Amino acid sequence: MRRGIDRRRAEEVDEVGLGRSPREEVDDEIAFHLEARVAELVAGGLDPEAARQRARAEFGPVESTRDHLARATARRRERQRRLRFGAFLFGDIRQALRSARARPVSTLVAIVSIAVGMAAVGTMWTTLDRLILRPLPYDPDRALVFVGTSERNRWGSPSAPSAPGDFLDLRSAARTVELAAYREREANLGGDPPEWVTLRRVTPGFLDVLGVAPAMGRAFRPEDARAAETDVAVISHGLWERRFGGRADILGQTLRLDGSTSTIVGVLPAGFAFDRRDVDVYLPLYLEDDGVRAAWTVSVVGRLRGELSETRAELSTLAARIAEETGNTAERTFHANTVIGEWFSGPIVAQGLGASLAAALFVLLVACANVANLLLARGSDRADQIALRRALGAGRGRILMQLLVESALLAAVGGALGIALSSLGLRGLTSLTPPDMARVSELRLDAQSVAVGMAMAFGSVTLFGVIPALRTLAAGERHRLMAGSVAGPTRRARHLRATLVGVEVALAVVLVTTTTLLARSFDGLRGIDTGMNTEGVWSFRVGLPAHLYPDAESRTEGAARLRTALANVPGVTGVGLSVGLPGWGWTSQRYQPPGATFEPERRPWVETRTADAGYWSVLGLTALRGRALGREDTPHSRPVAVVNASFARELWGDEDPVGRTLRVEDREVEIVGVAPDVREAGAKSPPRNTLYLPLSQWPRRGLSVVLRSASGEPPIDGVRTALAQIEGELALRHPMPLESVVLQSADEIRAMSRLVGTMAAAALFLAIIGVYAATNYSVTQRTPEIGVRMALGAPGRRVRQGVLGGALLVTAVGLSVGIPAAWGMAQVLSRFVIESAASSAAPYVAVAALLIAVTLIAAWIPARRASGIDPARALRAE
Amino acid sequence: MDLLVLRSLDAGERHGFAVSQWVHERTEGVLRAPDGALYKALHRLEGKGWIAARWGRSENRRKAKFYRITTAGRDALRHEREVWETFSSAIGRALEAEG
Repeated sequence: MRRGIDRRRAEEVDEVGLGRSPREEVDDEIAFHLEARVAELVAGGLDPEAARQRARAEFGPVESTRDHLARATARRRERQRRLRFGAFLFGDIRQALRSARARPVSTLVAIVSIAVGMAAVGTMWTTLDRLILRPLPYDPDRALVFVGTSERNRWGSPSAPSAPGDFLDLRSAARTVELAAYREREANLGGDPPEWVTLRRVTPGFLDVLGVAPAMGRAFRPEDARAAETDVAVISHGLWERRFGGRADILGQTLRLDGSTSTIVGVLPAGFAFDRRDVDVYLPLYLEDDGVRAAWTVSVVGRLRGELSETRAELSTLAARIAEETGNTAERTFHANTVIGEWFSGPIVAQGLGASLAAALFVLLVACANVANLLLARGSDRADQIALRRALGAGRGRILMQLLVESALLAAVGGALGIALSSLGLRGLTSLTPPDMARVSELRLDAQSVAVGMAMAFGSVTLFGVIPALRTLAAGERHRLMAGSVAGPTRRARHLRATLVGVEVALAVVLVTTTTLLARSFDGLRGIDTGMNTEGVWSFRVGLPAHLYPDAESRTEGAARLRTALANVPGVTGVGLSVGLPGWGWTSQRYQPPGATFEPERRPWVETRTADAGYWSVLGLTALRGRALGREDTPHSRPVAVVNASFARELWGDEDPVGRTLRVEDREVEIVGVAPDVREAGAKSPPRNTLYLPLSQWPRRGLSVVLRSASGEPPIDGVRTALAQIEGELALRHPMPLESVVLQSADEIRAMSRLVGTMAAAALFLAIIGVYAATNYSVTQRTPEIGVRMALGAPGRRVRQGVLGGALLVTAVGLSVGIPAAWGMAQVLSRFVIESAASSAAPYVAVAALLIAVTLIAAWIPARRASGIDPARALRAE
Repeated sequence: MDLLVLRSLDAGERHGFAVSQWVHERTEGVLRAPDGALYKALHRLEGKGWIAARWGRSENRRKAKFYRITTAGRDALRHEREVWETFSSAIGRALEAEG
């Protein structure tokens, strides 16, 4: 109660005006005066009429005085109201703190709930926003776009390559967008040890388009890209620190890249990552003479000068013009899409984060249920207090305000705690996500996410505070201060609270079950038959420097040297070379479908896996029909290929493909075998059409090595030594078990299912403390009743059972709603990720058992307390 | 007028009519301002926080607005009184002084 405040303020603040308007009050005051004066005069012997006239005359002009006084009264009241509001707010805060101290358990539960709920939503929202939804951070005023190309029957990806010739035309003609092009290559960076790095050739405006300036030195100038041979480079901050120890005189130092030398003219800012983190060297891209339109070899990024729609309109105009000038009838179009994080994180991460945000909202709901429950419980505690205050003339608004102040305080404390927790959560998330995911390290809480989180905390708590507050108020009004009334909750209030706990349990069931299913489906992914024996196989990437291996002959030679050197490393029992690995890129070639007569640049593409005989034997690949690729396939023998089963079916139906020929690029290849389908991208993906080509006939510089060793451990040091002895100081990159290469998408799925799992754990935790707090509270409330029962001889065991039974009933209700809801959720999810596990009953049984177990544990402590109630004391308290 | 009102309330809580009676009696009818002016003074002082008011029952059980002096009002009364005494004695001295 704010009695202390009232006493101190009593001299300055008068009591509430008892609901009369200022005018009515003034009228009453004047009327009283006149009547009293008349009475006095009549007592003095005057007749009533004369007395009235005399009194009025003495008073002066009644009307104008009345107006004057009414205005003064209104002004005074307004000032007092303001004063009182401040005083009341202060009092309410003190009051709220006092009632928080009086019920430490439920207050703690509420605060922890808000904190966890807010942290869950805050963390996931920040992550989703930063990684997926937000345009890249460079120059926030103008959006970046990827400009892709498509033609009839030929689609680019969002970051799709475009033709250099088109790019040059677009760049000079486009008014609404500033364009830059880039392409990537890998190269051997000389030194000790040599490194195989990704370098990106960019047109000079690239950094300007991104709106990024080098931390040191300069960006490229137009003249840097005038010569075909480059001699300047801009390096990443990481490379500067790694290779040059962050030395201050870096500008002017040189890099040896595949035998050519580049002078460093700039260093990029730390943390700069456009789409991938691992690009270490930037070189100028020379395109001026390159009018190629058939090969789409550059990626194009642009910065809008105006609206996206204007740029799109302009691009379609330009596409028409280019088509006319070049006589291209293939309906080539250019499309611009805003660059957002999703392009870089991929669909699994995007969906995973979306699912996690949804899960986080569940967590927030559970938290809200906890808070509402607390406030409801507290409200019914207070019904008689409120009734008393109503009777003393406190307005509804006043009491509502007090209840809301209490909610707001909870929100503020919980929210502040939640922010701290989010910041930890983001750090945890960084360690959870695949390390090469761009921009993960940029995850920070900023003012905006703090604001969103706080708004969320306040919004939900106020919302969930208002409903209980209204109920409390209504209860307080009904409650007519009956003498010695047992301030027990009404049946409805009890039901409402039980329902809330039930809802919590149901939400937790849905989340935990879904997560279990996700985890199982991940396990299922591990078990899929990829058609390859990847166990104990290690892989890494290696490249042949361009200057030493310029043509097919030298590359074949280089591959042979590589093979021999690796095979001689002690402990190595098998070596295979390929271009790309399952789950790690592939190449594609154009082919002429049988019977078709497409122009060369109209022909469809097929994924090709170019590999040597060793690759087939290390991975245990065998042909279903015909033969595998082998040592008999040399640069000089007849060009051959193996098709996978689904591609064979597409090309020739049920007929035997062995012995047939297929036109691939400019060669006629003979199909010598059929390989089994390999589901490289996980069980949910359909097998892709694949053509296996012998590396000897299609030599490349960038190679992947698969390696089997006697011990199962990779002899990495021996491999390094062997590579360094090959001409050109070869270096290896990304050594890892082939299994994790193949299961890269599985890694992401695992990270995401862990994330959702964390949310489920949070929801479960909140539900447990919710059950605990609710049971605890009901025991406190029923103390007198339990005391009576025990005084009448009820054994402690019975009392305990009663309390546990109540908690179990609520859990049972929660389960009966939650299990069907979880099943429905699983049906929805099974379309995306969850495998057949969705149909098995085991996870549901397990989750139900888990919840019943935790409910029993949560209710056990209050139950023990109940059975320990001393009847005498309980009754005295009454 | 303000000074008189404060002084009358210094003696105890009373309603407007009682204040009016007190003023008439103490000034022996000399200061016979309109009663409306008295109420204006009461409300003004209430606005300043020098007096406080509440609604209660009069001697004959009628609803009436009672005023009482506040701590701030007492301080003000003391101060006003000194000012007034200084002022009136100065005027008095001036009028009685020999020309």
